[in-house]
Amino acid sequence: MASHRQAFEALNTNVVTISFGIAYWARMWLQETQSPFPFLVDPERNAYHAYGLQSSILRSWMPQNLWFYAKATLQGREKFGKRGDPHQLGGDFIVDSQGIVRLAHPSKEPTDRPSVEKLLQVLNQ
Amino acid sequence: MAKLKVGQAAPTIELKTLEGDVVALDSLWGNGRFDRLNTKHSTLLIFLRHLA
Repeated sequence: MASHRQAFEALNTNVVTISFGIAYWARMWLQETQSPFPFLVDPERNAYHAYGLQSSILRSWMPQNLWFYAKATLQGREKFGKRGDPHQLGGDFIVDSQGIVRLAHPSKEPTDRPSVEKLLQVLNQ
Repeated sequence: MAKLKVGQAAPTIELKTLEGDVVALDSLWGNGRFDRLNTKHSTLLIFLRHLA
């Protein structure tokens, strides 16, 4: 996502990252990812709930996710249970200047995210 | 939990930065304000799953 920062800026789009994690892990994530985008915290998950984002044990442990986590663990990237609820799903939303949702993509499972191309397509509409 | 759909008003919730500053989500999309070039802003909200 960070590598497409200029594309989003060219489309006059603010990119904001939101997490429910505690500040310690949030700072570690920012240090690891060097994400250039503003970062907001939602420890009570009020925004997660308002945007319809669910926590799902079943969908979090589907076979493709187990494979993803296995690779991440072998690479030393995955810290189960230490960085927050592993079952909370994320999502992506585009909101226009009138406050109207133009894209709503709650993740069906942890790796389910819209492509950057899809995001740019919606922003170009 | 109700699904948010395209065309609906985006919920505005008060969140915080890591520095403790309060940010209302609707301040991000400008409440309908235009910038000086009269181009509209959009906002992409990326909700993370756990911080892996």
